[in-house]
Amino acid sequence: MRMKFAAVGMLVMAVLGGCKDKGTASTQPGSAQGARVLNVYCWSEYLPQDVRDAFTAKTGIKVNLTLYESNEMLLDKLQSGVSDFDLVVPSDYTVAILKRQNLVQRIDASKIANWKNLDPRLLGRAYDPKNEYAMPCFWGTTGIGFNRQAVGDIDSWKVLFDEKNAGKILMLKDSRECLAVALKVMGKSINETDPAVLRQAGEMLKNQKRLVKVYNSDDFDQTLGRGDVVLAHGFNGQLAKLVASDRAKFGYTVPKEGATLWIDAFCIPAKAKHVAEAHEFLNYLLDPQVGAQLVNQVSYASGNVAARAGIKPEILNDPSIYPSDEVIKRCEVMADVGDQTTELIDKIWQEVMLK
Amino acid sequence: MVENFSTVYIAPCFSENPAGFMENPFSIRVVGVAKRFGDVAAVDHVSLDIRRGEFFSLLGPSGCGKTTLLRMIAGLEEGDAGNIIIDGSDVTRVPAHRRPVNLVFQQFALFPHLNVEKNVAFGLRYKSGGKRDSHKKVSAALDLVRLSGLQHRYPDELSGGQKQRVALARALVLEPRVLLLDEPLGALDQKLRKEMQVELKHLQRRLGITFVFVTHDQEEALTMSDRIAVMNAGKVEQMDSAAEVFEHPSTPFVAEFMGAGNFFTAKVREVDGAIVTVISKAGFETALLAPNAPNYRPGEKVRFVVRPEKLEMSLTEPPPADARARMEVTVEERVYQGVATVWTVRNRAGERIHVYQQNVIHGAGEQFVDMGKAWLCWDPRNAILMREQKA
Amino acid sequence: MKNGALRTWLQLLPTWLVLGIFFLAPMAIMLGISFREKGPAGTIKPIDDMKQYITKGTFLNNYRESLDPSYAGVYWRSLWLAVATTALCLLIGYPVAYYIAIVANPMRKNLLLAMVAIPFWTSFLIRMGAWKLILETQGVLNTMLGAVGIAPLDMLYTPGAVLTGLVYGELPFMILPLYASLEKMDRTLLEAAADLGAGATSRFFRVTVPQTMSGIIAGIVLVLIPAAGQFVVSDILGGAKGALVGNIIQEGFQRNKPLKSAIAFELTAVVGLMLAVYGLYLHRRRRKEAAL
Repeated sequence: MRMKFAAVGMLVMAVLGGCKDKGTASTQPGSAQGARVLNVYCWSEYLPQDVRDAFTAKTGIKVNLTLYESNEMLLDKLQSGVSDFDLVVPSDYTVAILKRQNLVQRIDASKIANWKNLDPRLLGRAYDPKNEYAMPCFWGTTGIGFNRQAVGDIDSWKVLFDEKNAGKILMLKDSRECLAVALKVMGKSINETDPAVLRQAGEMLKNQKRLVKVYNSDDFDQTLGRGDVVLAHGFNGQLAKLVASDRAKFGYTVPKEGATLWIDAFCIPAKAKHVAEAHEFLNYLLDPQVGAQLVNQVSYASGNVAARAGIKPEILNDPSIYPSDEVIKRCEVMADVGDQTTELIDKIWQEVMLK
Repeated sequence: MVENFSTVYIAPCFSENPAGFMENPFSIRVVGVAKRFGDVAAVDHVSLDIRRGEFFSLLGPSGCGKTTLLRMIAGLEEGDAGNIIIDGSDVTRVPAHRRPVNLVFQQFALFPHLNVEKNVAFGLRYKSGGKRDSHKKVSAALDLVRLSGLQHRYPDELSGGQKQRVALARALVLEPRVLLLDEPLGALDQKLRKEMQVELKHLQRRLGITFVFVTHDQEEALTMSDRIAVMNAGKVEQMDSAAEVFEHPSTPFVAEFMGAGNFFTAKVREVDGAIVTVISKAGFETALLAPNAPNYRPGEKVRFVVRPEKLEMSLTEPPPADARARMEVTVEERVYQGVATVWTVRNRAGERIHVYQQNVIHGAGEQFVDMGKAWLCWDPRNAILMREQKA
Repeated sequence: MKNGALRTWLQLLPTWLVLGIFFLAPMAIMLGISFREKGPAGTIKPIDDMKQYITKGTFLNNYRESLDPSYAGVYWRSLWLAVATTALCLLIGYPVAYYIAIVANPMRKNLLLAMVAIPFWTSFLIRMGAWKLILETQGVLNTMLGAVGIAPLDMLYTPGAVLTGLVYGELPFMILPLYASLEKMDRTLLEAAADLGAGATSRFFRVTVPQTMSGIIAGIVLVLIPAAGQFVVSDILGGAKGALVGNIIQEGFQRNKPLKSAIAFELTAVVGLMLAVYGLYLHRRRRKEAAL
């Protein structure tokens, strides 16, 4: 998922409290002789230390964790061909790109006894129709976080194009997500490939730009929370935490036009050296207790349905974290739109940025 | 031609002498000025008057306070006490850039980023009417120091002597009422130094402005100065004409500093008018002429000084008819200097004495042998009486 | 003789190695990539026909694109922000350096120098994050303004915020060379100027400034170049319209390395050109003076 925990925040934490994840990653040596290891390349916050430690205690496999902040970083690392990771966590459409470039290998579901615990709603999606390459991990939506006192209750993307909100809007600094907003307002799919439609969506974003205060994919929740904007286009995870902190003031909506359903999934790189360990780890994460423990710590919706029984009710019942089926139905998962369309989108986005 | 132009052009500027100035004969009056650096009294309540148009030197060893005093006159150093009066107006609280004096620095302090012309013209813009004809004024000043044609050179392209001249021109172009010079020849070699001494003296005569010159070189001070103030440990020991300081040092320090190191310890036997008769430690009696004779009391311990060149040495004792004072000595050392020979001898009291003898004829002094006996004699008028301690 | 030449060469070798590995090689690689075409998903397209590639001018495509008028706004913004940053750093840095070098006593001098350097102990990102906390709507500054009855100002996500961040970040690089040149300045020149009638202001502009010109130029170079290529400051403190050349290069570099390399190289070239022009101007002025 694109929950890029703000680089700034991460460093602040590293300085103030010592960043646990980074600490272990650097203190544990790569592969001690004889010892089994697993090298994971992951978003920050996804795999808390105690979960990793418990896995090591149970199996003797040491988990080395390295962090990244964007799918681009992940792509770059794997494309460079010099990485030695055994597990990575790309987002939906990135899975498709990796698959197309033969950078990931099949996951053997038969070796994962807990595979049956996976949420069927997340399976068979376009990026991996046969569930051969990816195991959904966390998932969520992209919507609007808003300041209830300033804009009231809202349910449409159109507020982001409304003159009266000029200078109070934050948009994700993400070409696909921003285009998705414009496409949804136009009533199109977020995976639209018609150049004319995409260009039209691009024009909308260019016209919208003068209303936008800032493009930010890192700490959009804080920017909204501290009053610098009243509308923040963003991922549900961070915004849900803000909403939970003050429900009278803040709200989160997945607009009625439909939105992005994002799924971050585990993949095993084609050059992975510890494939057996990777399977063992995936099976461990799909354990009901472990899955619940994970969700209770990170507050993201999990692909592990069997874990539900152990998840705190305030998380399970929070619609910003676990949306209703009806909301899920109106959402789309981002697909790999192909090289040509990707190139066009890059170009359109560049124009928006330059405007 | 060039010389003519400069004379014509400079003359009205530098010889200007408004009537008002004449009423006040003093160019600079320093009244009870003091300056401490931490525990050290650099200048210890000094008072002196510098006359209009004179070449005045502050002479003393390094650390005696002469440069500090000069910098205080320039306004570059703030005093702890006392007043400085220039041309009748008290400038004690006036900052350096508003004082009608200019300083020539020891290391020249030329602006390295400006060429000669711009260096010299630097101060003109701060003088009323200074910017008018500045180009001509700069040329005239450069002519004055005989440095025409180097206007576009930069300081790092000049020799030491040339830099010195630029520094002079830069100060003189402002037509200061007083020119202060802080060991300006110190950075030059011996030959150039001698030339510049003469040239500076000529310049001062020609321009008629007051020069206050700081030096540690007694010969330089004697060559150039009208009057000299000899300083020691922040105080003025003696202030007199050059000849007077040389011939009649008033304190042992001045005597020594002026090269008269022959001190004789003695006791006063009697005082009669201006004549003081003393018995030297070496056993002989001599009568001395002392202007302040009544100050001495019989039995008082005193010293007298005779300059090395005032002593005459012979193998035999002069006849009694000779009115000169005399004493027997032992010859210890001889240093041949070409023009003269310097002898070191010792008298019965063990006092060491230098004798300076002009080598008038070839082979002079060959009659004296090491550790042999000899006689010194001198005109009593050349012996200077002074108290054991400083006054 | 031959031995001597070899020794000289060996003595210079480490310098050349360091320069080559850390400076020239990356530049050369970047220049090379800038002439290529991008392939799908961040790859670089292989060249099919080198002759055609050159004769048809394909290798200049990225430069052509980067000079498209649509980039003008970003270039202009980057330029004026870099120049304004440099000017402000000089304006603020000079008095600070002057105080440390000339006015402060030796003990305080060391303390102040340490204070100038202390920010380097903390990551630049964190310090920019701190500025965000200061400038935001409910931030430190607005809280203070509120205490004296001034309504909150819109400061974060403005060009002013970017300028503040840039000046803050680059200031030490201006202060340190200025300090060094002020420290070694011959103070008797100031006394000479005072003696010649120059007041404090005049002394400053006619002696101190020319005497510290080397420090000023070093400071300008050290500030202008990084300021022109900055992207962290504008990313964190800049608003929707705050993108600088640095951001354009950095964002999506992975997916279009050739174009971004071309822009980066242009940036390097422009800054280099600016410095060259300035150097030439100084040289000319000096020569003109000498020829007068």
